[in-house]
Amino acid sequence: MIKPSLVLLTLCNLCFLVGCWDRSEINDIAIITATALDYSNENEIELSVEIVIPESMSAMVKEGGGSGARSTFVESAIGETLADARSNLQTKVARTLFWGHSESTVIGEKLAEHGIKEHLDFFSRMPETRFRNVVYVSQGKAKEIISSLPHLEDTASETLHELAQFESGLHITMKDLFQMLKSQTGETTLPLIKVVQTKEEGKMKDKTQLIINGAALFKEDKMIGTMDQVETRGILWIRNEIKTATVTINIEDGEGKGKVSLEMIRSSTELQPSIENGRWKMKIIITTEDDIIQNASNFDMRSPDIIHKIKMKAEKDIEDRVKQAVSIVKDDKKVDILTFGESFRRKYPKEWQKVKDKWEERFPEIEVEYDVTVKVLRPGEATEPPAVPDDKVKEG
Amino acid sequence: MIEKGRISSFQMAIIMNPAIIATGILLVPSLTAAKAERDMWISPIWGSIFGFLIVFVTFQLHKQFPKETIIEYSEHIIGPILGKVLGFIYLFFYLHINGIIIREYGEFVVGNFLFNTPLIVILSSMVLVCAFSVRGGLEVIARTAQIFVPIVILLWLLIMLFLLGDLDLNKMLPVLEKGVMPTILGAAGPASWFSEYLLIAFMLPYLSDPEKGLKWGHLSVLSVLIILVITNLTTLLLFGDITADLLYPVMNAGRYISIAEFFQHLESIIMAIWIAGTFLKISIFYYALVLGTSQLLKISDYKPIVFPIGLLLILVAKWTAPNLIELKHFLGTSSVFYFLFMQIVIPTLLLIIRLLRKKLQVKRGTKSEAISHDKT
Repeated sequence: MIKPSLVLLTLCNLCFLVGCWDRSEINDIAIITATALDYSNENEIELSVEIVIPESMSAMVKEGGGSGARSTFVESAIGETLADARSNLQTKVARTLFWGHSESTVIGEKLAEHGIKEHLDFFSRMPETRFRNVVYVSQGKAKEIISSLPHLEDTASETLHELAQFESGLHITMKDLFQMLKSQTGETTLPLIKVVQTKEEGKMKDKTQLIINGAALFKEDKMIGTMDQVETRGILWIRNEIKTATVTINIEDGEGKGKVSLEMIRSSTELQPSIENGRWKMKIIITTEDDIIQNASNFDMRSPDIIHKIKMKAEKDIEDRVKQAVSIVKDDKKVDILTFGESFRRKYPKEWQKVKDKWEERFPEIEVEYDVTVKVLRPGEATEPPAVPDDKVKEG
Repeated sequence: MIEKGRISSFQMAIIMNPAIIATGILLVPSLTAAKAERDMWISPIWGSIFGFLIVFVTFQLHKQFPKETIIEYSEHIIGPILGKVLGFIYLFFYLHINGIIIREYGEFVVGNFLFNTPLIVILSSMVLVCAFSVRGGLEVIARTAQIFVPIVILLWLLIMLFLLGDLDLNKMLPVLEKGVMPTILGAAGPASWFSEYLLIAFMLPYLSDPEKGLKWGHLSVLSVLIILVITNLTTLLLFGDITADLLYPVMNAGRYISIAEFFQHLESIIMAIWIAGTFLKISIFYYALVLGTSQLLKISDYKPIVFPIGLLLILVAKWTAPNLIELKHFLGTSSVFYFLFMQIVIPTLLLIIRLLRKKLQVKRGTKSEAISHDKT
């Protein structure tokens, strides 16, 4: 005999089972892999997204890819705000837009010059979006970047992601960007990305190349200038973000001369702030370990004297690179993307409180000292240069 | 006694852990960061003082009345009428605070995962599940906690471990940039969470080993303190100055995890911590409310009133704030005084009154004894 109350309770529970308001099947969503923001006019922005075409992507995986067909497509819409553009975009796509897998965001150069913070807010407020997506500023239109069809990866988004991982340029995630914009010194920098279309031999006609081409500098949230790749590398040394580097130096000694290339194994940078008699000083201490990977000179790499000379030269070379970057940022553009302000704040919190509002004026006045140490660890797999006759090898 | 089940002190400590951290780890980082900025990890330490204090006070009250809860012994301390009034106030307080907790739970689920589901459905399904565990009694809640708490802590530990690689120690420097004051202001949030330890007043009478109650109570506070400090530290080292701008920093942290490029999108783990934890938290507050009501009204069994009170809870949860903004504003401002007054000040006053009265009685007792001695 079943109790009526039990039956009633079971029936009541059924009410909870039908509640699939938020059911979203995989074939009802449009997965966005990259987002691009462009300036449209004074009041409006253009939002472009790269959307996965599931059928062709799965076909590519099966066939091994590389047929030249697109596995993604790009759709764009204009709106007053990003959210507004998003809802306009939604009307053009028959599936629900899903931002959860968006791994990269590209901001158009022109929009960057007009200011970005109001648009970025969307990325912190919308629950789907992720703080780990990488951010770039494009030279030219951002839409072109995400529309490009690269050689190696299937999608532009994947390329953007891989480029950031490789860390030959800056690697800035959405979280880092928010932190930079939030900081008291207003130090913001983003990597610049550019699309290269060449008709060189050995490249596929319908494919394009994405390359990191330096960095964009921001004052508060407006872009004020750019740096080229060489200068950006100098910044990377100071920010302790350098992962790969090859240093090539000229050595000359008596009859012997030529070029020697060193490859960096690891490197660490320390910023040492100090205040002496009201003079703010910053010491940049770089310690790097290198191996020789090419000896284009006629020196014998077995000689410790030669290695010592190479070491001195390499130290000078790295110092010059860093100096160049510092002079651009400090004397020319006057933006503290080197995190000098933060270092002073950590070591001299009291003094920092006094100058933080005037940091813009104070930053260019900082005296910078350099202390570069290069350790040449191994001569590579060869000793004497194998391509040089014995009698021409100099032992330094 | 209405409650027939008995739990051990250790079980009590285990129940109290999620009763604090369940909502604490999601809301406390942002609340403390708003005031203490880079020193936000210090604030829970100040807050925990209230936790240790209230456990001590409750235990002393328990020693005076070993077989009664706060609803019952307040009548003995301040008289039957005032005691009943205070009992009513406490019941309303627990109805309100539990409504807030249920609402916090619902807001989080709707805001992050089930955007289109009506809030009322989420609230009522949770209350229904909790109602079953409350009907089961204290022992059932204790055993559920014993199963769930290790899982919750393990998942939490997993999230913290996965984030290790992304942490930057520089973000917490300089320590105490603006002195100690901001950290004390930031402690307001954690303090009101820690004050919830008053709940043990509803469990102490049913301990099988009451003499260990104080020790395990304090250990439980310590475990919550460690968890809150580590959570605050992790979000700070990950997000730095933007922690205060995020509504649920731990949720963003869970989304940020990426191990070897393929192990990512771990927000479901945070969701699991949240649901299992809040289930226990709501259950134990719900239990205190139901038990207190039946004790105040002198009903012989609390089971019949579980479902009616559940209905009230859903309504209070729905009505407690018009939107999430006001809810969070309330939690960061006036609620601190409200929670601390109800859960720290009143119990402490009760204890002081009790001890003073006893002293007076003893004095009078010795006097009358002396008089009687004289007579003879």
